[in-house]
Amino acid sequence: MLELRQVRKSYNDSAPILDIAALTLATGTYWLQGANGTGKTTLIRILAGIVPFLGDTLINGHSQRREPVAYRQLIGWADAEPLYPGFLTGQELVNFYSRILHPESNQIAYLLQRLQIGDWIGTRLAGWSSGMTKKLALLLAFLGRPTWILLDEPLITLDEAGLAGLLTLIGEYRDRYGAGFLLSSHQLLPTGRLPGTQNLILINRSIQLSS
Amino acid sequence: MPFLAYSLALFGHGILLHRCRNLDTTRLLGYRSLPVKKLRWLAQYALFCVVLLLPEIIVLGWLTPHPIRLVDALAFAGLGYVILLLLCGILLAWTVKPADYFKLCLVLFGILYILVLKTWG
Repeated sequence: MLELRQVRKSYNDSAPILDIAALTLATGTYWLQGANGTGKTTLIRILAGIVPFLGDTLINGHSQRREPVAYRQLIGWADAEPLYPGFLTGQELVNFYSRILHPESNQIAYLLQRLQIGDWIGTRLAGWSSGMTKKLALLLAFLGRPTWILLDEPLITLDEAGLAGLLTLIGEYRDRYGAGFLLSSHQLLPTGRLPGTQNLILINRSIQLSS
Repeated sequence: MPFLAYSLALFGHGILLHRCRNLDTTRLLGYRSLPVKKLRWLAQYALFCVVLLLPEIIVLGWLTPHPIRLVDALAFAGLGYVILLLLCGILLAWTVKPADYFKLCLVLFGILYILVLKTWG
């Protein structure tokens, strides 16, 4: 379960971009929609523990304020347009994350195969395309055993094979491990993809469940 | 004169700190979503400051006890470390534009140099 309590965020003392009094999401898959500038990325980053904000968010009762490490153990996050140090190889970055997240021994190989970046993983990230970098960000979001996976604009820059791999992964993590997903986009979820997904709309600084 | 060179080196380290912080906020954003204690994250910055200061510490070691007294060498090293930690704290607490940070460093090291000249000059 994902909870938001009195979440408020503003930039540079301006009017708040987000003002959510209370929201509880049961474990499931949610497609968060909103026009450009409505705060989708900000909300995802708040939930990922990346940007400061007022209020609190909780995952399965673990508060981001009171138990930041336990909370972050339950989170996987991928940015819309991820950037990584170009001097590192993909493998070095995966190893860096693995030392913290302790994934199962075969999980990395499995994710590499699903997202089809195995051939590139040993090369420096400076030479990676935006689509390949996106796949790496997705791999890192699925690493370990996150309870909630937060993906900002997960479909952009992905090729058809990458998209198929991502959707398969979402289905597998949902069914096998009971993971929840919050996927943000300014577009509608393509018809027929991810059955059972609920729509959320970010409007007027708050979130509404869409029918 | 040795402290002028030392101040310039510290100034250079300040710029490196800014580059490092920039890398942290742009290309290593995901690290903040990982289950890492804030204390460990801060300790990594403190350790980075020690690594930056290593060349100066080695040179101070060579110059001790003559022509620089041990107590002065320790004061130089300690002062340098505190200055780097101060810059680190500023970078961690606020988003500082490169131009503003550059000015801040110049002012800080100017004040430091004048103070050192008054004390040891």
